[in-house]
Amino acid sequence: MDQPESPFRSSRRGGSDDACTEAPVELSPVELCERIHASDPKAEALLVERLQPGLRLILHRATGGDLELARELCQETLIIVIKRLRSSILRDPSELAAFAAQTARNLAIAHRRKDARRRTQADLDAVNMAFDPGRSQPEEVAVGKLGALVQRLLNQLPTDRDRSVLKRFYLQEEDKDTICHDLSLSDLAFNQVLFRARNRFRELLSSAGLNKDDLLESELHHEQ
Amino acid sequence: MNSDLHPARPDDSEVSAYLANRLNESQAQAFEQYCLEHPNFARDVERELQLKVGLQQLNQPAKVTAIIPRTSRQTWWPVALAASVAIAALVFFEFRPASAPAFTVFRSLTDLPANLQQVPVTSIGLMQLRGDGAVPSVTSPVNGVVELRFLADPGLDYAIAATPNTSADVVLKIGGLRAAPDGYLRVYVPANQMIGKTWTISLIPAVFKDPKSEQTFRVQFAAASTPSG
Repeated sequence: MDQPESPFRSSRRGGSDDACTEAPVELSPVELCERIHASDPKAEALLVERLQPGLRLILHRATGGDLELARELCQETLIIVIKRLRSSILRDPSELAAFAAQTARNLAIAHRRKDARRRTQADLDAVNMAFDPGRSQPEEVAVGKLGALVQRLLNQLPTDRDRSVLKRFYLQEEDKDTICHDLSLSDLAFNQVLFRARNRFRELLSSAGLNKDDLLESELHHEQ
Repeated sequence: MNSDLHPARPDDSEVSAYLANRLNESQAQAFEQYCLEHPNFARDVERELQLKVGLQQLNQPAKVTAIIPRTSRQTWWPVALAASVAIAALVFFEFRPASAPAFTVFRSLTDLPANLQQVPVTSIGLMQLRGDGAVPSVTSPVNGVVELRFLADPGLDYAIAATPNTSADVVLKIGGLRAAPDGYLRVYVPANQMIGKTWTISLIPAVFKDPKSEQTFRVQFAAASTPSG
């Protein structure tokens, strides 16, 4: 296959591939493009490290929150970008991020169109899947690693008020002023609750062995 | 990388607005551009997203999202890659922020999310009548919930599969269902998902008994002009 080696796979795991740490992280987009065009694999790994988190966010939104699809389209995007840079320099290398973003959005649009055409043939499979005896619906939810981690986080919060803040802010998407008013919280106290919760969540993710770049993908592996 | 569109680091309120999909398209794209140019910031946003997704999981233990099967990514990957290269060269003429929401069905009234707890519930009982080919029409408030009720064998597990007459739409399906002690098996569906279509709904026992054990109904759903009392 004429696909680039998957540098993001190794960098995503944060393990054996030390290309990212060796590559000069101060490379400008122009330098990055030039090095990739000159077949520098370390530059490719650096490109992936830089673009992957943002691309995943873009694709998460563009796919309506489909984590699995976002992950796969992110990989496709990175491959397309790297192949493009290998073959030719961008007309304006300073627009590398914009080019990557638009490529990702186009892939998401293309997938939606293709998916809509394919659905008419998928119904039989859908019915068959409904009978999968291997996993009941509640179990399917329970195996979600994220849900388990968040449950641990909630259990470790010191007060019901803190748990309420978290749920209202992230789940019910209430605005900060409303929550503060209802719970008689100062702005500072609200920020402290969120700060502590975020830090604790980061620790839980870390203790669960999840690298930064595995954040979205951790969910996927447990759903499969 | 160009940072003119969003030179300043987004603050907490902007992050939460982005995650709640409350930014307009240009604001959201500017935010994403900043994320692309600042990967550490993007990772922080991802972590917020994780927290949110985890809370959603905990909050919806009985919510079942219809699975829209896709063909294996492995098999279409090379084709998709080739197509994607071509697409990347096209004029960027269209972008919509999100695809249609997933179809949802709930096993009980208590499983309904908070925004559906107080809405009107339209209950319909589906039973097969010999020789009756008519398609009944059911009206429901658009913002309500439809209770689909079936007479079922209490000793069996069932699945329900529903297909709209518009073949490109998603399929409702849910398995592992049992009848309540009163003999009725119930599921609850947000009415706005059903209205405007004619549905073929099948009640399918998980253990095959005989060809007649599967029941199929056709029902048309329409919006009620005023909320039903």
